[in-house]
Amino acid sequence: MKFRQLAIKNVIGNRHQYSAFFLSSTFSIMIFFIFSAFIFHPDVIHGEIMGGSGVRIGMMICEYIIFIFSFFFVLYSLSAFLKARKKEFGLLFLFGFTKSQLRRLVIYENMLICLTSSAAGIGLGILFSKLFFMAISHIMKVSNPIGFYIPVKAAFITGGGYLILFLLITVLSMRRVGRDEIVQLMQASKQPKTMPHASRWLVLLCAACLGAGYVLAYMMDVRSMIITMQPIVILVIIGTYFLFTQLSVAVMNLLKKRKSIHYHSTNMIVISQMAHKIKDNARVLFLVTLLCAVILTASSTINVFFSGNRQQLIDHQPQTIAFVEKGLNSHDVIDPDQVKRIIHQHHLTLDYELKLVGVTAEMTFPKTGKEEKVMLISETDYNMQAARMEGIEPVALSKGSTYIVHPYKESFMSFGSKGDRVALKAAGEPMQLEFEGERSGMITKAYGPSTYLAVLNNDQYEAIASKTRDTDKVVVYGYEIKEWESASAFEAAKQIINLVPENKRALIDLRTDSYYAIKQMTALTMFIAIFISVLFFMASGSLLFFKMFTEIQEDQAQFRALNRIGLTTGELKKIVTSQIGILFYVPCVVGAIHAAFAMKALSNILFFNVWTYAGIVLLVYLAMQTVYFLVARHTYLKKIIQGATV
Amino acid sequence: MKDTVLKAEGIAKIYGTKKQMLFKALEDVHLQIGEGEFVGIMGPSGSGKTTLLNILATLDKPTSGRVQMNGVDPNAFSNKELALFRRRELGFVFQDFNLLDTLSIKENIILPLVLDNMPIKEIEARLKDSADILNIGEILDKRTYEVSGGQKQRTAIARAMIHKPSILFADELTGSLDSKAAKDVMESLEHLNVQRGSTIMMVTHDPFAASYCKRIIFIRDGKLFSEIRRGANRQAFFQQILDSLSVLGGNYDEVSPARY
Repeated sequence: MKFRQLAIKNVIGNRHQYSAFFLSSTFSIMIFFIFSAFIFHPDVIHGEIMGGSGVRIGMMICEYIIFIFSFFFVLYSLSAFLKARKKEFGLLFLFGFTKSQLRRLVIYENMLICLTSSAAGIGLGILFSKLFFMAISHIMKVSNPIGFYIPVKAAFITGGGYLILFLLITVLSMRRVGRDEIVQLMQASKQPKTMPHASRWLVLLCAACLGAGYVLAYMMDVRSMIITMQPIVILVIIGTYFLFTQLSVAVMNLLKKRKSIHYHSTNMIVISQMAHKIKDNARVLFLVTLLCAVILTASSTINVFFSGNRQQLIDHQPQTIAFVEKGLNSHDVIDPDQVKRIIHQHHLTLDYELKLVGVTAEMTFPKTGKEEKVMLISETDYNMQAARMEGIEPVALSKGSTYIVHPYKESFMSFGSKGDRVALKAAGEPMQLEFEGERSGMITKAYGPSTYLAVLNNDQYEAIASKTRDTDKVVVYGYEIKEWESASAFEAAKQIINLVPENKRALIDLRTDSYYAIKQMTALTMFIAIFISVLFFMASGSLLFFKMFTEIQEDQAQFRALNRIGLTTGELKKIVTSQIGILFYVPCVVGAIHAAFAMKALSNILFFNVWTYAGIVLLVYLAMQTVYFLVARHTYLKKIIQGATV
Repeated sequence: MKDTVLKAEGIAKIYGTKKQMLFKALEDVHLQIGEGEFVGIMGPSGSGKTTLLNILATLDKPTSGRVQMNGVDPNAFSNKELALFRRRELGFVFQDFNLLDTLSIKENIILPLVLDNMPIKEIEARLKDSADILNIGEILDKRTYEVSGGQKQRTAIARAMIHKPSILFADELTGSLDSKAAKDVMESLEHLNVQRGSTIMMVTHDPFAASYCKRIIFIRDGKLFSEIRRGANRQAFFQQILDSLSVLGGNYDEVSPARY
């Protein structure tokens, strides 16, 4: 057997430990390759793709993230492999291996894994890059889909980059090998496990950190955001670390004292082993929890931003198509009949149609002391439109009073309080009105004269309107289309705006345009972010998977002993399931709680309910984690039962 | 003779693949153990004594023959029934202790009772009883790595008897102990047999350990070879065992067993 064959045999022999690591490496290499294939794609570089350069920059940032992440992931995994194989190395030294021979063996092994996973990653990448380009083209609405090509440059960069990464890490992790005496190496796995102990102070510190972080996040708003964001992250990270190293042990020790729980069926074995397992795996669990929190927070945030934008869009543009004209029947922007005709042509249903007539006037407000241009409208007109919209209450006004409607809740600034006197100049005559109240929330396009609305009593409005010439009146037209999110609405809106003279286009608002821009941006971000999330997800699972399999021999021996004294297979499965379940789901749950507080902070900033979307992301994550859990449980149980019943 | 606890009739165990040479580990073994007996099984390496123990202890199945324990045949059980049978009716002590190092000494001992959901009061009463008889009351709260080999083996014995099994099986239980510890452990086991009337079957290499038994069965090449019974004097019995072993021959040159 040649030296190289020994390395190959070692890798194949340890395949159970390596498999999850290999898959995650392959996957990250594949993603890295596909992204770089896009970055170096001739069509993208030559600017033939609309918006391609922006996406390119986004992907480059992702490439850095992937590479840095890969570095730490590979570093951690490879050093853990070496640690788990101490006994094997001790044996090799015993047979007369020199240190340099052992180093060569490890380098061969790592290179073998690196080369195979690079080859697999790049191969799969080439296979899937076409699909990826098609998806990107579809999202970006590129007319000519980005073509397939064999990205030689991307392949070289990916292969070369990861080769250097593996080499560097191998050299780094090799420094430890060969320092211990043979005896220490041989007995590495036999060293007794000391009883995990929790310090009361660190447990308190953990609770304090998590509590403080959560409270700060719960109370965070736009103003305190800049100051509290970093402390929150640091507090939660410290708290999470001690949660696994200290609090978990403290909880297990507490459970041990409760005899009614501890002395019940398989609980005793589960609780005692968990105390050890959690403490031994504290660092992995800590990392996995943080990854999980990052994945959940990031995906929910993107999701929330998109849906938040959609809601904001509807708030800011209450009608799909809206335009403002001066003069009752001037139609200098567009003829309403044309609009209706085009909407009809595209087989779209009109939810409602609005024609809001108003008179411009100047008002001086008591609180600000400033004179603002407002549009006077009648109580009936306002209430009629308010009834069509969700969450807007009608107003009732007596003669001589006015109700002010601000457009944006985001920039709401009080103009006065009930009972204040308001000076008004309308139709050339100064008047005095009583300030009845104010609110935010537009009922139609707010632009120029229609930015602020002043609602008046019907009689009073008629009195002012009758003194105003028709050509001086302002009309806001609004058309709400039921299927405004559809592509045909987008087309119809395009056709309509083409009929508007260039210099009048500021007077017309199309919700479809903004919606499409947002939707495309979000879809792209989501699409790219999903890859990164799945990458993180796979890596975190692979760390857990690996940890389970390094201890499988000890566990097999334990279960063999238990089997002899009469542990049934059903009980064995119960123990294993609860152990693996805790390892897989605890980080997930803790990560979800972290993410929930992050979401609460986000909802404080965005004034928006984020829970539905965060919930969906969490459910998807849980479903994926469950698949991972089931696979891990199945593989592990098979090995354990094999070993236990021999 | 008292009630029969264990009865084996015509046990044979044959290893080997279909086309390969067959190896007969055991051949036509007949055996009876009555209640309160302390039986030792001796024989040279490879004589089949551990195979016999595994079959009698339901850890392995015979190729042919029948085992009866308290009148029932455990080989007719399903895997789950078999596990429950081992948990409730049998006790085991092994050379390598098979204690769980994540549990304390106390937890290791009460494990069979906890698995069976016995009331906590009963568990504690039995724990005290077992700890007293095996003289391990002081180490109950220690961890497995904090106690000596002899103490570990006495812990294992306590675990094997706490559920009052019909029969206790011991496999080379002094194999990894020094002579002082071996003596302590064997005295504990004898104490258990005499005071409590526990039925014990022990496989051993060690003539000194075997001298604590009341009856010794010698096997060679998978067959029963001879049988001797102990009189009043243990020293004389020890000499008798050595004589029998020299008759038995084989590669019985290592009087003291291999140690770690």
